[in-house]
Amino acid sequence: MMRADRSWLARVQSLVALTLMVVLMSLLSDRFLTAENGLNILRQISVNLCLSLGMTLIILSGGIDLSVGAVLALAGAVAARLLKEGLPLPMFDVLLQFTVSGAILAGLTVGLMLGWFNGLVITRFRLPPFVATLGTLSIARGLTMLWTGGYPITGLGPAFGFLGTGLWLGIPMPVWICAVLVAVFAVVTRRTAFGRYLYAVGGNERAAVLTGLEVDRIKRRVYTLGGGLAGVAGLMVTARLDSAQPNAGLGYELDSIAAVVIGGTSLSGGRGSVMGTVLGCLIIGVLNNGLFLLNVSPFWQQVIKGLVILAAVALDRLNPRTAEAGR
Amino acid sequence: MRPRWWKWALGIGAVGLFWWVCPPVHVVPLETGRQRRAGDRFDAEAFVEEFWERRLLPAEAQAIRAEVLLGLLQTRPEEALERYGRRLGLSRSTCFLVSGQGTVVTVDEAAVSLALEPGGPVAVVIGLGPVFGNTLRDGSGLLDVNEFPNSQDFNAISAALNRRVEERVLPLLKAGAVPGRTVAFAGCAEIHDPRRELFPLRVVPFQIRFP
Repeated sequence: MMRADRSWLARVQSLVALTLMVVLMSLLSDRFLTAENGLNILRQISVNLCLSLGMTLIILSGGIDLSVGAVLALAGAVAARLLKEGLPLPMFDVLLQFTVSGAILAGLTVGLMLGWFNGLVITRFRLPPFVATLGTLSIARGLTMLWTGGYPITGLGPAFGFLGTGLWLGIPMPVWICAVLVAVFAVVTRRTAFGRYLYAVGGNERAAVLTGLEVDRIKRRVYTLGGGLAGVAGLMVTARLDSAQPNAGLGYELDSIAAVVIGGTSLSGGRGSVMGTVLGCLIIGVLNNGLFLLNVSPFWQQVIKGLVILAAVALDRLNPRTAEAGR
Repeated sequence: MRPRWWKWALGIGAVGLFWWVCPPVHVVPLETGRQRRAGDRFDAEAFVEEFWERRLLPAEAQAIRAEVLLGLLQTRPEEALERYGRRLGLSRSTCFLVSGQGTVVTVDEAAVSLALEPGGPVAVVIGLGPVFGNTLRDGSGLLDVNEFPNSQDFNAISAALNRRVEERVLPLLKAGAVPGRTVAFAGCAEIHDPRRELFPLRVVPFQIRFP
């Protein structure tokens, strides 16, 4: 009975925490519980949510990706420069002028390729994901500096900017994009064979191998998807700022890991959900927004965010399955 | 088992349809593309050329006299900052559009110092070296950052204005300034704290005359 209670608590802990925080912030600030602020929070969390969706898949499969922030920066920079300057091909004496759709495709391709590279290095050379993605982080940061020359690329035009600042039916475009992605990946993880394989690989990789799953192929797909989602996040950031910043996405990987963990996904893999990650992002977003409205110093905000992450992991240990996995 | 070629055909068809509806790239001759890009780029030098003649030089008529500004900054600094000062964004320094006439007191490689009253103290200094910062752009009060699509273009205006001062205005002053000679000037001055660094007023000139 006790085990069942704890398991139930682990499942709803994120929702309970979010509800408590919303109630608390509403009582402390009369500006918190408004439709405008609600949309503001959703807009603010959209980039982190996009990264965190990919991170959820990767952590569910038992891995980790430290390169998402750097991939975000490179994807945004590639899209921005191709849109603004095109790609000269002197040997053919032509210039490929990229349209908005072309720039978006290019940014996504960069994200997918770097994600695939992560998967390849991890599965082919058997490197720990922590080390492999740390290497990719450095490569992507260096490539971003080379590509931009260390300068921001600005003035990308309203059509591209619509992706980050536009509204449809009164709701910001990044929120729509995230809503579609959440729906897709909630179905993928819960209702498809690929989703079940993901949990199987993360829960017990050896057992997954013995049952005949192509574990390496699944992992490569997971990292490729994670890179692609980082590419989407990069496009959203670039569109919102109307500029590609060479240092964009610094530290974003930690925010996305925090959101995934707060959302109840186990860092040891095999347990968690997309909806949990959505709640994790909302908790971080509500926390940031509420503390800002309450005029709490940004330094204290970092301390409080750290304490929330520790509390989330500590609560996770209450789950009997996690406790068993730790033994 | 379903044949795999169906999937490939579907994929290629989808890509083809996408390419047809929203073409991702346009192929243009390299030279045409370069010309088009050059046309799209903001030309700060050309902008300043027109701005200088049409707006900046006529603005001399609206400039506050240097002796009036200095007097007001000493007695009622808040009023001086409020009425004549211009600040950009969160900047803590204030810029002023000033004009005046004075007698050259000293001339060296770095600057020309002027007294606004005969036999009076040095009240204005005009530097002769490289011009840095945004004093002229912000002090004129004629340019609004919101009229420009990005801050790089706005900053390029500052650089072009400063270059023009270095190339066209300062050589004139350097050639004609000798101690005792009268100089009329119009320009902009930047003050961070009127209580600490009021005298002498450092002016970046856009107009120099020897009456």
